[in-house]
Amino acid sequence: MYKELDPILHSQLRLAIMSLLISVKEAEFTFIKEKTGATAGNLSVQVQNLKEVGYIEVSKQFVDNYPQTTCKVTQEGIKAFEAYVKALQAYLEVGKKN
Amino acid sequence: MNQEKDLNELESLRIISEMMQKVRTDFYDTGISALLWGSVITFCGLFSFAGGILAWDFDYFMIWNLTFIAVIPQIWISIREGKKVKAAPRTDSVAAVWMVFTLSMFGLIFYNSRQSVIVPSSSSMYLLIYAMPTLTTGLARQFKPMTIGAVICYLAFVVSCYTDTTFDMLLQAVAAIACWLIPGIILHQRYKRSRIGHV
Repeated sequence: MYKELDPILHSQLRLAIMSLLISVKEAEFTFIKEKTGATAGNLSVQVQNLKEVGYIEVSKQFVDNYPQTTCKVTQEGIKAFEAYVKALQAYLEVGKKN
Repeated sequence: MNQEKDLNELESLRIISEMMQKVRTDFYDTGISALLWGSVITFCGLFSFAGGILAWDFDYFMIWNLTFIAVIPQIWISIREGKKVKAAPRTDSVAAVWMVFTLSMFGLIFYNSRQSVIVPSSSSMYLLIYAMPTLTTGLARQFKPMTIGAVICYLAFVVSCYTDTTFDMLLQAVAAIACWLIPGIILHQRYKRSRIGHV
């Protein structure tokens, strides 16, 4: 009956990253770090995980001699996020009935 | 958010809404553009008012050329602030409104400049007004047919400043087809497709 919650998204930091990126066209790594309050190391690992499953795109460039990492959610990421929210709603509906 | 722990459904929803709220309240604006234009327009208005009251014997309305000069620092400010933005919004309705305002101001200046040659009919002004909500909607909703319609409407406005009232009516029809009729047909077809499958 239940749709299983996507294990990639069902994690505090990865879900926070996706929730931020779904609301914007793209965001810098420093922006995500500031908003989630995560450490650079942990954030870097989770960003890499999301990139590996194809939920986000990561681009790196130099701006004024400083490295700049920008993240952007992909179509696949949007679909996965929407499916996750729908599954959450289904769980909550069942919770209400019980 | 460095300790990973098991999430329940409510915690997941809380994270989603908290992060979305943080993005919504973040967008960066230094207010420098508002200060620039507020200062320039105030100065030009007061200068022209003083010229009228004190009956200066030179063309004090020339002071309004300052607004053209102010475009230069505005471009510089926009580029500098653009570099500081750490997250680009998916759709920026406020930017769309200001873009429409800028285009319409240029349109109005063009209309006034034509008055020294011939007086364009008031239908030209209608065309300029038609384009405003169309372009705002097209940009804010990322709906290309309306954006294209608005561009056609702006072009019709420019052409109408050179034509007589009879041809202006034809341009009104062209603008209405481009701005609303074609986008309306596309929207209605999308709506009908979306209803398929509902019971």
